[in-house]
Amino acid sequence: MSTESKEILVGESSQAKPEKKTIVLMASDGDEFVVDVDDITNQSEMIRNLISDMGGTDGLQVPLLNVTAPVLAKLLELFNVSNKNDDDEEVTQKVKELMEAELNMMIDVLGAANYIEATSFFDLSCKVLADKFKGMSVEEVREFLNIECDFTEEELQQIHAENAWAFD
Amino acid sequence: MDYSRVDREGFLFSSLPPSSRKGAVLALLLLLLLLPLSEESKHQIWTPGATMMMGCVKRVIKARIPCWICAFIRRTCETIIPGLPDDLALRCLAKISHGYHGLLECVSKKWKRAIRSMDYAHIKARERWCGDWLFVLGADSPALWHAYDPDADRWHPLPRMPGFTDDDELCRFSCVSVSNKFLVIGGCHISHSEKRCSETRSLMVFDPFKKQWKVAANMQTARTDFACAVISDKVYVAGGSNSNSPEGLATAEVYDPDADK
Repeated sequence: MSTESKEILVGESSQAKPEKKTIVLMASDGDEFVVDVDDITNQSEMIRNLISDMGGTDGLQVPLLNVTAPVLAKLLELFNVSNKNDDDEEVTQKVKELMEAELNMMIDVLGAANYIEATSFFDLSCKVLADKFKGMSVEEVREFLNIECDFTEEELQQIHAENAWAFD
Repeated sequence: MDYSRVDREGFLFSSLPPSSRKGAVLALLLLLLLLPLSEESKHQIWTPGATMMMGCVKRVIKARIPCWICAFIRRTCETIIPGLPDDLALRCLAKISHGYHGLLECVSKKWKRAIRSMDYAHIKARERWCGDWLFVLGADSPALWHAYDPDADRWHPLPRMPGFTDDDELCRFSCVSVSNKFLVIGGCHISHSEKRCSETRSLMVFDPFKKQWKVAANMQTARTDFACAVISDKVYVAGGSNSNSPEGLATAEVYDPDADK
Protein backbone atom coordinates (compact mmCIF):
# COMPACT_ATOMS: atom_id res chain seq x y z
CA MET A 1 0.00 0.00 0.00
CA SER A 2 1.29 3.41 -0.92
CA THR A 3 1.98 5.77 1.95
CA GLU A 4 1.33 8.78 -0.20
CA SER A 5 -1.87 10.55 0.74
CA LYS A 6 -3.56 13.05 -1.51
CA GLU A 7 -6.05 15.49 -0.25
CA ILE A 8 -8.73 16.81 -2.46
CA LEU A 9 -11.37 18.94 -0.92
CA VAL A 10 -14.47 18.70 -3.00
CA GLY A 11 -16.39 21.95 -3.07
CA GLU A 12 -15.15 25.32 -1.92
CA SER A 13 -17.53 25.39 1.03
CA SER A 14 -15.36 22.83 2.80
CA GLN A 15 -12.50 25.33 2.99
CA ALA A 16 -14.69 28.07 4.41
CA LYS A 17 -16.09 25.81 7.14
CA PRO A 18 -13.34 23.43 8.20
CA GLU A 19 -15.60 21.77 10.77
CA LYS A 20 -17.56 20.19 7.94
CA LYS A 21 -17.57 16.42 8.02
CA THR A 22 -15.31 14.54 5.70
CA ILE A 23 -14.77 10.90 4.82
CA VAL A 24 -11.84 9.11 3.23
CA LEU A 25 -12.12 7.31 -0.08
CA MET A 26 -9.41 4.76 -0.78
CA ALA A 27 -8.49 3.98 -4.36
CA SER A 28 -7.51 0.45 -5.36
CA ASP A 29 -3.80 1.29 -5.10
CA GLY A 30 -4.21 2.57 -1.54
CA ASP A 31 -4.18 6.30 -2.21
CA GLU A 32 -6.49 8.19 0.09
CA PHE A 33 -8.79 11.00 -0.90
CA VAL A 34 -10.45 13.16 1.73
CA VAL A 35 -13.82 14.38 0.52
CA ASP A 36 -16.61 16.46 1.93
CA VAL A 37 -19.52 14.28 3.03
CA ASP A 38 -22.24 16.51 1.59
CA ASP A 39 -20.50 16.82 -1.75
CA ILE A 40 -19.97 13.10 -2.21
CA THR A 41 -23.38 12.00 -0.95
CA ASN A 42 -24.86 14.54 -3.31
CA GLN A 43 -23.50 12.41 -6.16
CA SER A 44 -23.02 8.86 -4.98
CA GLU A 45 -25.96 6.78 -3.89
CA MET A 46 -23.64 3.98 -2.75
CA ILE A 47 -21.82 6.22 -0.27
CA ARG A 48 -25.07 7.81 0.86
CA ASN A 49 -26.45 4.36 1.71
CA LEU A 50 -23.19 3.31 3.29
CA ILE A 51 -23.18 6.30 5.63
CA SER A 52 -26.78 5.75 6.65
CA ASP A 53 -26.04 2.04 7.23
CA MET A 54 -22.97 2.81 9.33
CA GLY A 55 -24.93 5.40 11.29
CA GLY A 56 -22.37 8.16 10.92
CA THR A 57 -19.26 9.40 9.21
CA ASP A 58 -16.73 9.27 12.07
CA GLY A 59 -13.43 8.02 10.68
CA LEU A 60 -15.21 6.35 7.83
CA GLN A 61 -12.89 4.91 5.18
CA VAL A 62 -14.44 3.64 1.99
CA PRO A 63 -12.22 1.31 -0.05
CA LEU A 64 -13.10 1.48 -3.74
CA LEU A 65 -11.50 -1.68 -5.05
CA ASN A 66 -12.44 -1.13 -8.69
CA VAL A 67 -11.19 2.44 -8.97
CA THR A 68 -7.56 3.47 -9.42
CA ALA A 69 -6.19 6.71 -8.01
CA PRO A 70 -5.96 8.68 -11.29
CA VAL A 71 -9.53 7.70 -12.19
CA LEU A 72 -10.85 8.60 -8.74
CA ALA A 73 -9.02 11.93 -8.85
CA LYS A 74 -10.59 12.72 -12.22
CA LEU A 75 -14.02 11.62 -11.03
CA LEU A 76 -13.83 13.83 -7.92
CA GLU A 77 -12.64 16.72 -10.03
CA LEU A 78 -15.70 16.34 -12.25
CA PHE A 79 -18.00 15.99 -9.21
CA ASN A 80 -16.51 19.22 -7.99
CA VAL A 81 -17.44 20.98 -11.22
CA SER A 82 -20.89 19.43 -11.09
CA ASN A 83 -21.49 20.51 -7.48
CA LYS A 84 -20.41 24.07 -8.15
CA ASN A 85 -22.77 24.52 -11.07
CA ASP A 86 -26.50 24.16 -10.88
CA ASP A 87 -26.91 23.37 -14.55
CA ASP A 88 -25.14 20.51 -16.28
CA GLU A 89 -23.60 22.62 -19.00
CA GLU A 90 -20.21 23.11 -17.42
CA VAL A 91 -19.72 19.49 -16.39
CA THR A 92 -20.95 18.26 -19.79
CA GLN A 93 -18.30 20.45 -21.38
CA LYS A 94 -15.62 19.05 -19.05
CA VAL A 95 -16.62 15.45 -19.77
CA LYS A 96 -16.56 16.23 -23.47
CA GLU A 97 -13.07 17.67 -23.18
CA LEU A 98 -11.92 14.60 -21.27
CA MET A 99 -13.42 12.32 -23.92
CA GLU A 100 -11.59 14.13 -26.72
CA ALA A 101 -8.31 14.13 -24.81
CA GLU A 102 -8.27 10.73 -23.12
CA LEU A 103 -11.01 8.38 -24.20
CA ASN A 104 -9.78 5.50 -22.04
CA MET A 105 -9.74 7.67 -18.94
CA MET A 106 -13.26 8.87 -19.75
CA ILE A 107 -14.47 5.28 -20.08
CA ASP A 108 -12.81 4.34 -16.79
CA VAL A 109 -14.47 7.33 -15.13
CA LEU A 110 -17.78 6.15 -16.55
CA GLY A 111 -17.24 2.70 -15.04
CA ALA A 112 -16.24 4.20 -11.70
CA ALA A 113 -19.28 6.49 -11.65
CA ASN A 114 -21.49 3.45 -12.16
CA TYR A 115 -19.60 1.58 -9.43
CA ILE A 116 -20.28 4.22 -6.79
CA GLU A 117 -23.78 4.71 -8.18
CA ALA A 118 -23.41 8.31 -9.20
CA THR A 119 -26.49 7.93 -11.37
CA SER A 120 -27.00 11.42 -12.69
CA PHE A 121 -23.32 11.89 -13.49
CA PHE A 122 -23.22 8.49 -15.17
CA ASP A 123 -26.25 9.32 -17.31
CA LEU A 124 -24.77 12.64 -18.26
CA SER A 125 -21.47 11.05 -19.32
CA CYS A 126 -23.31 8.34 -21.25
CA LYS A 127 -25.19 11.03 -23.09
CA VAL A 128 -21.95 12.78 -23.99
CA LEU A 129 -20.51 9.55 -25.40
CA ALA A 130 -23.75 8.67 -27.21
CA ASP A 131 -23.98 12.15 -28.72
CA LYS A 132 -20.44 11.76 -29.99
CA PHE A 133 -21.47 8.73 -32.07
CA LYS A 134 -24.36 10.63 -33.63
CA GLY A 135 -22.13 12.93 -35.59
CA MET A 136 -19.87 10.17 -36.85
CA SER A 137 -19.77 7.86 -39.82
CA VAL A 138 -19.44 4.11 -39.31
CA GLU A 139 -15.72 4.24 -40.11
CA GLU A 140 -15.20 7.07 -37.65
CA VAL A 141 -16.94 5.17 -34.85
CA ARG A 142 -14.73 2.15 -35.53
CA GLU A 143 -11.61 4.27 -35.54
CA PHE A 144 -12.67 6.25 -32.47
CA LEU A 145 -13.19 3.13 -30.35
CA ASN A 146 -10.54 1.04 -32.06
CA ILE A 147 -13.05 -1.62 -33.14
CA GLU A 148 -12.29 -4.05 -35.93
CA CYS A 149 -14.90 -4.46 -38.66
CA ASP A 150 -15.71 -8.18 -38.73
CA PHE A 151 -18.35 -8.00 -41.46
CA THR A 152 -17.80 -9.34 -44.94
CA GLU A 153 -18.64 -7.05 -47.87
CA GLU A 154 -21.91 -8.94 -48.53
CA GLU A 155 -23.03 -8.73 -44.92
CA LEU A 156 -22.42 -4.99 -44.92
CA GLN A 157 -24.37 -4.56 -48.11
CA GLN A 158 -27.26 -6.52 -46.63
CA ILE A 159 -27.43 -4.25 -43.59
CA HIS A 160 -27.22 -1.23 -45.88
CA ALA A 161 -30.13 -2.62 -47.89
CA GLU A 162 -32.19 -3.21 -44.75
CA ASN A 163 -31.62 0.36 -43.64
CA ALA A 164 -31.41 1.89 -47.10
CA TRP A 165 -32.91 5.24 -46.23
CA ALA A 166 -30.73 5.78 -43.23
CA PHE A 167 -27.63 6.22 -45.38
CA ASP A 168 -29.00 8.80 -47.81
CA MET B 1 8.37 -24.99 -14.84
CA ASP B 2 7.55 -21.98 -12.75
CA TYR B 3 9.49 -19.78 -15.08
CA SER B 4 7.68 -21.00 -18.16
CA ARG B 5 4.38 -20.50 -16.37
CA VAL B 6 5.26 -16.90 -15.69
CA ASP B 7 6.45 -16.58 -19.26
CA ARG B 8 3.13 -17.81 -20.62
CA GLU B 9 1.13 -15.67 -18.29
CA GLY B 10 3.22 -12.67 -19.23
CA PHE B 11 2.72 -13.36 -22.89
CA LEU B 12 -0.98 -13.83 -22.52
CA PHE B 13 -1.57 -10.72 -20.52
CA SER B 14 0.69 -8.46 -22.50
CA SER B 15 -0.80 -9.53 -25.80
CA LEU B 16 -4.35 -8.95 -24.71
CA PRO B 17 -6.33 -5.75 -24.78
CA PRO B 18 -7.40 -4.79 -21.26
CA SER B 19 -11.00 -5.53 -22.19
CA SER B 20 -10.24 -9.24 -22.47
CA ARG B 21 -8.84 -9.73 -19.01
CA LYS B 22 -11.79 -11.79 -17.91
CA GLY B 23 -11.05 -14.09 -20.82
CA ALA B 24 -7.38 -14.17 -19.91
CA VAL B 25 -8.22 -15.47 -16.44
CA LEU B 26 -10.21 -18.25 -18.09
CA ALA B 27 -7.28 -19.10 -20.32
CA LEU B 28 -4.96 -19.13 -17.31
CA LEU B 29 -7.16 -21.69 -15.60
CA LEU B 30 -6.97 -23.76 -18.77
CA LEU B 31 -3.17 -23.50 -18.82
CA LEU B 32 -2.89 -24.39 -15.16
CA LEU B 33 -4.90 -27.50 -15.90
CA LEU B 34 -2.55 -28.33 -18.74
CA LEU B 35 0.66 -27.89 -16.76
CA PRO B 36 0.25 -30.59 -14.09
CA LEU B 37 -0.70 -33.03 -16.84
CA SER B 38 2.53 -32.61 -18.75
CA GLU B 39 4.56 -32.69 -15.53
CA GLU B 40 3.07 -36.02 -14.54
CA SER B 41 3.65 -37.67 -17.88
CA LYS B 42 7.27 -36.53 -17.83
CA HIS B 43 7.92 -38.50 -14.63
CA GLN B 44 6.10 -41.57 -15.78
CA ILE B 45 7.86 -42.05 -19.12
CA TRP B 46 11.43 -41.35 -18.13
CA THR B 47 13.42 -42.21 -21.25
CA PRO B 48 15.64 -39.77 -23.16
CA GLY B 49 13.54 -40.19 -26.29
CA ALA B 50 10.32 -39.47 -24.51
CA THR B 51 11.84 -36.47 -22.77
CA MET B 52 12.96 -35.09 -26.09
CA MET B 53 9.51 -35.64 -27.54
CA MET B 54 7.93 -33.98 -24.51
CA GLY B 55 10.28 -31.06 -25.07
CA CYS B 56 9.16 -30.75 -28.68
CA VAL B 57 5.51 -31.02 -27.73
CA LYS B 58 5.98 -28.39 -25.08
CA ARG B 59 7.68 -26.04 -27.49
CA VAL B 60 4.81 -26.49 -29.94
CA ILE B 61 2.26 -25.97 -27.16
CA LYS B 62 4.11 -22.91 -26.00
CA ALA B 63 4.21 -21.42 -29.46
CA ARG B 64 0.75 -22.37 -30.72
CA ILE B 65 -1.67 -22.56 -27.82
CA PRO B 66 -1.43 -18.96 -26.68
CA CYS B 67 -2.05 -17.80 -30.26
CA TRP B 68 -5.29 -19.63 -30.76
CA ILE B 69 -6.42 -19.12 -27.19
CA CYS B 70 -5.88 -15.41 -27.64
CA ALA B 71 -7.77 -15.42 -30.93
CA PHE B 72 -10.60 -17.36 -29.32
CA ILE B 73 -10.71 -15.03 -26.33
CA ARG B 74 -10.71 -11.95 -28.57
CA ARG B 75 -13.66 -13.30 -30.53
CA THR B 76 -15.79 -14.35 -27.58
CA CYS B 77 -14.96 -11.72 -25.00
CA GLU B 78 -14.85 -8.62 -27.18
CA THR B 79 -16.80 -5.83 -25.58
CA ILE B 80 -19.14 -3.40 -27.27
CA ILE B 81 -17.12 -0.40 -26.15
CA PRO B 82 -13.57 -1.45 -25.22
CA GLY B 83 -12.94 -0.84 -21.53
CA LEU B 84 -16.61 -0.65 -20.57
CA PRO B 85 -18.72 -3.56 -19.30
CA ASP B 86 -21.38 -4.46 -21.87
CA ASP B 87 -24.35 -3.60 -19.66
CA LEU B 88 -23.04 -0.06 -19.27
CA ALA B 89 -22.24 0.19 -22.96
CA LEU B 90 -25.82 -0.86 -23.75
CA ARG B 91 -27.20 1.81 -21.45
CA CYS B 92 -25.00 4.29 -23.26
CA LEU B 93 -26.12 3.18 -26.71
CA ALA B 94 -29.76 3.14 -25.59
CA LYS B 95 -29.58 6.94 -25.48
CA ILE B 96 -29.23 7.00 -29.25
CA SER B 97 -32.49 7.37 -31.18
CA HIS B 98 -33.76 4.88 -33.76
CA GLY B 99 -32.67 6.89 -36.78
CA TYR B 100 -29.03 6.10 -36.01
CA HIS B 101 -29.49 2.39 -35.43
CA GLY B 102 -28.81 1.41 -39.04
CA LEU B 103 -25.53 3.26 -38.83
CA LEU B 104 -24.52 1.72 -35.51
CA GLU B 105 -25.37 -1.78 -36.70
CA CYS B 106 -22.67 -1.47 -39.33
CA VAL B 107 -19.86 -0.95 -36.82
CA SER B 108 -19.29 -4.62 -36.02
CA LYS B 109 -21.15 -7.89 -35.50
CA LYS B 110 -21.11 -7.31 -31.78
CA TRP B 111 -22.78 -3.92 -32.23
CA LYS B 112 -25.38 -5.32 -34.60
CA ARG B 113 -26.26 -8.04 -32.08
CA ALA B 114 -26.37 -5.47 -29.29
CA ILE B 115 -28.68 -3.04 -31.11
CA ARG B 116 -31.02 -5.86 -32.11
CA SER B 117 -30.95 -7.57 -28.71
CA MET B 118 -33.87 -7.80 -26.32
CA ASP B 119 -31.65 -6.30 -23.61
CA TYR B 120 -31.38 -3.17 -25.69
CA ALA B 121 -35.15 -3.05 -26.19
CA HIS B 122 -35.69 -3.58 -22.46
CA ILE B 123 -33.37 -0.74 -21.48
CA LYS B 124 -35.08 1.57 -23.95
CA ALA B 125 -38.50 0.52 -22.67
CA ARG B 126 -37.50 0.81 -19.02
CA GLU B 127 -36.04 4.27 -19.44
CA ARG B 128 -38.84 5.24 -21.84
CA TRP B 129 -36.30 6.39 -24.41
CA CYS B 130 -38.61 5.72 -27.30
CA GLY B 131 -37.85 8.84 -29.27
CA ASP B 132 -40.31 10.44 -31.65
CA TRP B 133 -41.48 8.45 -34.63
CA LEU B 134 -43.32 9.59 -37.69
CA PHE B 135 -44.77 6.71 -39.69
CA VAL B 136 -45.35 7.05 -43.39
CA LEU B 137 -46.65 4.54 -45.91
CA GLY B 138 -45.16 5.44 -49.29
CA ALA B 139 -46.84 4.95 -52.66
CA ASP B 140 -43.75 3.38 -54.22
CA SER B 141 -43.65 0.59 -51.65
CA PRO B 142 -47.29 0.34 -50.56
CA ALA B 143 -46.79 -2.33 -47.89
CA LEU B 144 -43.61 -1.00 -46.35
CA TRP B 145 -43.80 1.67 -43.69
CA HIS B 146 -41.02 4.14 -43.22
CA ALA B 147 -40.19 5.90 -40.01
CA TYR B 148 -38.76 9.36 -39.56
CA ASP B 149 -36.60 10.23 -36.57
CA PRO B 150 -36.70 14.00 -35.99
CA ASP B 151 -33.77 13.78 -33.58
CA ALA B 152 -31.52 12.23 -36.21
CA ASP B 153 -33.30 13.88 -39.16
CA ARG B 154 -33.27 10.52 -40.92
CA TRP B 155 -35.68 8.08 -42.50
CA HIS B 156 -35.47 4.33 -42.20
CA PRO B 157 -37.74 1.49 -43.28
CA LEU B 158 -39.72 -0.57 -40.79
CA PRO B 159 -39.82 -4.34 -41.01
CA ARG B 160 -42.52 -5.62 -43.33
CA MET B 161 -46.01 -6.01 -41.87
CA PRO B 162 -46.87 -9.63 -41.11
CA GLY B 163 -48.68 -11.34 -44.00
CA PHE B 164 -47.59 -8.79 -46.60
CA THR B 165 -45.28 -9.25 -49.58
CA ASP B 166 -43.80 -6.75 -52.03
CA ASP B 167 -46.84 -7.08 -54.26
CA ASP B 168 -49.37 -6.45 -51.51
CA GLU B 169 -50.96 -3.19 -50.68
CA LEU B 170 -53.05 -1.95 -47.78
CA CYS B 171 -55.51 0.83 -48.31
CA ARG B 172 -58.57 2.43 -46.70
CA PHE B 173 -57.28 1.48 -43.27
CA SER B 174 -56.90 3.60 -40.13
CA CYS B 175 -53.91 4.03 -37.92
CA VAL B 176 -53.34 5.48 -34.47
CA SER B 177 -50.62 5.60 -31.91
CA VAL B 178 -51.44 4.61 -28.36
CA SER B 179 -49.32 3.84 -25.28
CA ASN B 180 -46.03 3.82 -27.17
CA LYS B 181 -47.37 1.50 -29.87
CA PHE B 182 -48.39 2.11 -33.45
CA LEU B 183 -51.62 0.43 -34.58
CA VAL B 184 -52.72 -0.29 -38.14
CA ILE B 185 -56.37 -1.27 -38.18
CA GLY B 186 -58.65 -2.86 -40.77
CA GLY B 187 -58.74 -1.62 -44.34
CA CYS B 188 -58.45 -3.45 -47.61
CA HIS B 189 -55.61 -5.89 -48.25
CA ILE B 190 -54.90 -5.90 -52.00
CA SER B 191 -52.76 -8.68 -53.36
CA HIS B 192 -51.61 -7.73 -56.88
CA SER B 193 -50.04 -11.12 -57.56
CA GLU B 194 -53.23 -13.02 -56.74
CA LYS B 195 -55.48 -10.26 -58.12
CA ARG B 196 -57.47 -10.34 -54.92
CA CYS B 197 -58.80 -7.66 -52.60
CA SER B 198 -60.03 -8.60 -49.15
CA GLU B 199 -61.48 -6.42 -46.45
CA THR B 200 -59.79 -7.20 -43.21
CA ARG B 201 -60.67 -7.29 -39.54
CA SER B 202 -57.01 -7.40 -38.58
CA LEU B 203 -55.15 -5.21 -36.16
CA MET B 204 -51.37 -4.95 -36.47
CA VAL B 205 -49.30 -3.44 -33.73
CA PHE B 206 -45.77 -2.09 -34.14
CA ASP B 207 -43.61 -1.95 -31.02
CA PRO B 208 -40.90 0.70 -31.49
CA PHE B 209 -38.76 -0.78 -28.71
CA LYS B 210 -38.61 -4.28 -30.13
CA LYS B 211 -38.95 -2.94 -33.70
CA GLN B 212 -41.39 -5.75 -34.38
CA TRP B 213 -44.89 -6.12 -35.73
CA LYS B 214 -47.39 -8.22 -33.89
CA VAL B 215 -50.81 -9.38 -35.01
CA ALA B 216 -53.26 -8.44 -32.25
CA ALA B 217 -56.89 -9.32 -31.60
CA ASN B 218 -59.14 -8.89 -34.65
CA MET B 219 -62.08 -6.53 -34.82
CA GLN B 220 -65.54 -8.11 -34.78
CA THR B 221 -66.29 -6.85 -38.27
CA ALA B 222 -64.19 -6.00 -41.29
CA ARG B 223 -64.12 -2.26 -41.88
CA THR B 224 -62.83 0.11 -44.51
CA ASP B 225 -62.91 3.92 -44.50
CA PHE B 226 -63.91 4.13 -40.87
CA ALA B 227 -63.40 6.64 -38.09
CA CYS B 228 -60.82 5.90 -35.46
CA ALA B 229 -59.69 7.74 -32.34
CA VAL B 230 -57.91 7.24 -29.04
CA ILE B 231 -59.71 8.24 -25.86
CA SER B 232 -58.00 7.62 -22.50
CA ASP B 233 -55.68 4.92 -23.87
CA LYS B 234 -58.43 2.98 -25.59
CA VAL B 235 -58.98 2.84 -29.32
CA TYR B 236 -62.48 3.49 -30.68
CA VAL B 237 -63.40 2.56 -34.23
CA ALA B 238 -66.78 3.49 -35.68
CA GLY B 239 -68.69 3.36 -38.93
CA GLY B 240 -67.00 2.62 -42.20
CA SER B 241 -68.25 0.04 -44.62
CA ASN B 242 -67.62 -3.46 -45.95
CA SER B 243 -68.95 -5.55 -48.82
CA ASN B 244 -71.78 -6.92 -46.63
CA SER B 245 -73.01 -3.47 -45.80
CA PRO B 246 -71.92 -1.19 -48.63
CA GLU B 247 -74.30 1.50 -47.44
CA GLY B 248 -72.26 1.81 -44.24
CA LEU B 249 -71.87 0.25 -40.81
CA ALA B 250 -73.75 1.73 -37.89
CA THR B 251 -71.65 -0.01 -35.23
CA ALA B 252 -68.65 0.93 -33.15
CA GLU B 253 -66.03 -1.11 -31.31
CA VAL B 254 -63.46 -0.40 -28.67
CA TYR B 255 -59.98 -1.93 -28.29
CA ASP B 256 -57.92 -1.96 -25.12
CA PRO B 257 -54.20 -2.21 -26.02
CA ASP B 258 -53.18 -3.32 -22.52
CA ALA B 259 -55.59 -6.26 -22.46
CA ASP B 260 -55.36 -6.87 -26.24
CA LYS B 261 -59.18 -7.12 -26.45
